[in-house]
Amino acid sequence: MLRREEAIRYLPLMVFVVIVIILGLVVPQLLSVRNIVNVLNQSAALGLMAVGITFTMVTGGIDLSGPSVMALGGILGAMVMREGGPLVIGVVVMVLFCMALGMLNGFAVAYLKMVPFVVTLSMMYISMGASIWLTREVSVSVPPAFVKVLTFRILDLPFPVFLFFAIAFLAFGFLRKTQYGRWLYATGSNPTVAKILGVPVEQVVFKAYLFSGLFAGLSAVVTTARLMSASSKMGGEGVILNVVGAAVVGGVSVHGAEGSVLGAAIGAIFITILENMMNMMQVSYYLSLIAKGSLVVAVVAFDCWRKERFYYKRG
Amino acid sequence: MFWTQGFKEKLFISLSLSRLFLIAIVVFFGFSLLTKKFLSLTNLFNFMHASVPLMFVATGLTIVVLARNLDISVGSVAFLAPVVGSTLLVRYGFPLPLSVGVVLLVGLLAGLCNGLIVTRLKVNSFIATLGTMMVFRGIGLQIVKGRTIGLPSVLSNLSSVRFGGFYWDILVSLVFLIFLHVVHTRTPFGRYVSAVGSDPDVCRRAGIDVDKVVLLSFLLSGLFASVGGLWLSMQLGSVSLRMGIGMEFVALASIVIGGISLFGGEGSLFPGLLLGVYILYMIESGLNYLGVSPYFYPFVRGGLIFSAMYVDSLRVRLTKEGKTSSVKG
Repeated sequence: MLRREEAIRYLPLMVFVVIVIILGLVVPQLLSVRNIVNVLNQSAALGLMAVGITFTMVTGGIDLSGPSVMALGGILGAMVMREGGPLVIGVVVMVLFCMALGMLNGFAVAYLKMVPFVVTLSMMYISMGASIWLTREVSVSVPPAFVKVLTFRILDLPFPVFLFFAIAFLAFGFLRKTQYGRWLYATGSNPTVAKILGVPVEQVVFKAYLFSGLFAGLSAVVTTARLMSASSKMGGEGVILNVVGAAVVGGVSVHGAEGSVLGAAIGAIFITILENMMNMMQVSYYLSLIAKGSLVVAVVAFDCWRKERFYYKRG
Repeated sequence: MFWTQGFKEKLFISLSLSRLFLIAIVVFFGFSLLTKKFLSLTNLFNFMHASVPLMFVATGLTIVVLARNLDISVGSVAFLAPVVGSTLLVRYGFPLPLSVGVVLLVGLLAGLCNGLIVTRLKVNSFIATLGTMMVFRGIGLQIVKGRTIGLPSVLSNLSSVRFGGFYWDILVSLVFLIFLHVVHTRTPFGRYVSAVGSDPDVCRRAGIDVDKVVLLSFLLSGLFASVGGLWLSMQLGSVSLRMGIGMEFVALASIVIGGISLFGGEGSLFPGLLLGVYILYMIESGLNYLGVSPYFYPFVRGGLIFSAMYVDSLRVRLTKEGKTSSVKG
């Protein structure tokens, strides 16, 4: 019985695999090596953020601020490098700044018991406002050396792809094998019981948002390297839809305690393929917003239906 | 002992209401001392006038929040509805009353769509409206195809009619707010909204049609968002592409500043929300007179929303602790 439930949880993902394979057979250029490398390269930044949002979604919360925090961190790092700071400092600024904002989210959610959705929505608009204020909507270019270091290719695959895969597997193992990972899932499934059993619930939730900030920082590094500049548009409103979409398509439940980092990473690749296909078919940005928004609602509705069918009836 | 649960709650409610009045007064006189231009009837009417579109949007959203849901698609509805209306009016020559009717209809349809997703498909309202927020904006952008639509001057003049400096639309927004306040406090529906917000499960067992109440709250939110969007486009004289972006954030900010609990069930439209909206706009207008760049406003709103939310969660925790201890005792 459990197997069937697992299978149904990943049904959206499997449907997408089938769709992509069929489309790949119909449109051969979609599966060309060049396009695959391109898609993987584009999915790295999205995938890192999807890994981050998975941590917070497993606790039953959500971190909507990922993309805009990523943009702000990227801008700050790029500015440091523009003022002559060394590359390492630029990278460190990007990662640490995003972690600091993640800590702020985590503190508000875990210790001050605020609603995660509204906290991170506020953080999203605050950091969006900050990046527009800092850049006046002009993009900040990063030094060519930075781009060169971060996009060097091994076997045709650029470095961000390796970083993305490594992080996805590491995070997957981390959540499966360590005490923290088990605590995270326990907190998500029932915080009250978890607390009685001795799980430091506040600390676990706090760290989840911290991790989300960390991955947003890594994503900032990858994105600025790929675009060769940082701008306030990197974290535009459509991006958060991609991140949430990647997570829910990958089987991460909005109710918490379910889904894995690997699922979200695969979800990110499929969202990128979807964007790529829509680009090839010359679908306008506006229509792609409609498509992705409906997709998220449909997949979450499916998740809710599945929960109702398999969990509540049994109890 | 007089320090009972009921007394504690009453004290907290009266404290939070008087706190709101206190904040409003402090902010008002603070800015009056800091800048000379702030303390004038013109300025007072000006920021009240500027807050009218938001007042509409926040009024509808409050009903949803009171029923323990969220609707973050309001900004996009406030964009989509006037887009459809103005396209029909300007491009296809529809008569004005019919176009306005269409605007309201679009708002209702958007609310119906949100409400059905939440009640029938059982999707949690945050995610549902995050999705529809993008869908509605996408539809609107697809209709205008990247162009700004200018409105006939009849409409833009209508929004700035005033009697001796007093804009009449301030009165309109107040009438709507009071109307919904009466609905909230004096009708069965209003009571059900608060009840559902406090505890949906108990309501279900008590035989209240929770889904119907939630659906109606989303319908109201959609309708009010479309009115807010209509009014914003009238004030601007056109329907611009970025209209309504971030409006849900400002509306939520004024809701939490107004002491309406994000945990559902508690708070009032009058005077809670009214003060929330005016405090926010008063601060922004004051900052404007101090010469602070508008780029800085998101920080102010963010800081306000964070501190208001902190008070909210503190209150919920205090009363909750009281409840469990009274059960034990």
